[in-house]
Amino acid sequence: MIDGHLSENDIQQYVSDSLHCEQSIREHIKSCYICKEKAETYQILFSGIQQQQKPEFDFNLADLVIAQLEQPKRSFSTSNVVAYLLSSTAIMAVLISCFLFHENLSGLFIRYSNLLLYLFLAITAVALLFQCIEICRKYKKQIGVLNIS
Amino acid sequence: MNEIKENIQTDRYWIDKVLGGDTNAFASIIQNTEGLVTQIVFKMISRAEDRKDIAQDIYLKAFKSLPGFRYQSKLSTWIAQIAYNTCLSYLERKKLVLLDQVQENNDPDEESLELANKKSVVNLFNSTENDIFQRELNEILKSEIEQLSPLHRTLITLYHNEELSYEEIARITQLPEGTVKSYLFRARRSLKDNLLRKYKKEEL
Repeated sequence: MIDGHLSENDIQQYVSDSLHCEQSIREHIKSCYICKEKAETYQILFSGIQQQQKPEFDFNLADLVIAQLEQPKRSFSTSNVVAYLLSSTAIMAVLISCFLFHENLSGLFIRYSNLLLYLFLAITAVALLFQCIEICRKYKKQIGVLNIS
Repeated sequence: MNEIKENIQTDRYWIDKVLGGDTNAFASIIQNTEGLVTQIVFKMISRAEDRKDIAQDIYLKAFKSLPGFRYQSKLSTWIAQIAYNTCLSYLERKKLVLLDQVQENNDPDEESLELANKKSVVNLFNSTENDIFQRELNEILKSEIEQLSPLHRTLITLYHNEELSYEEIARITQLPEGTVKSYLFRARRSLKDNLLRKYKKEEL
């Protein structure tokens, strides 16, 4: 049995969810006129809040947002088609040359010293390194865009 | 449990469509979540002129961030979190107060409330003119909710109008669940006290 009156917290808890609040609180509210009246005041308040009209925008939000989104590219542009054609021709030319002159090509590298070979490898490694740095930079930038907080 | 699964499935369906390049599917996501977002924007932003830009900004951010959605909450809760953060940034930029400390520490004047309680709203509500009273109460309540701080207004709306759980509200506002409960308690008490004071004044 609760001595005195219930706290505001107990009364709010009772009004919010009377089924899950303590048995002693429920019993007290039944027997105490003052606490019962306070609970009823909260009940009126809660139902009043629930009856408040929901706000609405006076414009079509979906239309406004969709108009600002980038539409997905469904077709290739002319410049892209030309670029793809040129790249494929170049790759095919290299492959055909390799196939036709593969016997001559093997002798090509034997003539050069090891130093030249290391130089070639070093340049390739530096180019790859720059490429990796660029990819990392782009990745961080994209993560920055995704950071919503 | 089934409801959660259903929600995840629906969310996944729309998200997959959007990520697959169907931007019009995003319109459906907007329509499904617009109610909650509108409530947050209206409760946190008082200037009507700024709401339009903020609402668009929220959904553009959501669209950009959609590939990063990890299904750790409902999509609506996640978008509501973006809405809350966007409004919060706006308030910070404009140097506006999210939670009024003066209002926070303003303990109710027990004596005046005691008097007000004697002619409580319950007695008025039980009167024969309760329809008129209900309309009047809704108007007064509307203006009293407007007087609350943006955070209190938002919490009251999310809990009582949108019927979100404490857990969901905590996720949206990134506040501990206990803090959400405590702020909600103060907001309700403040509303009730102001309501009683208002009726007392009218009686006098």
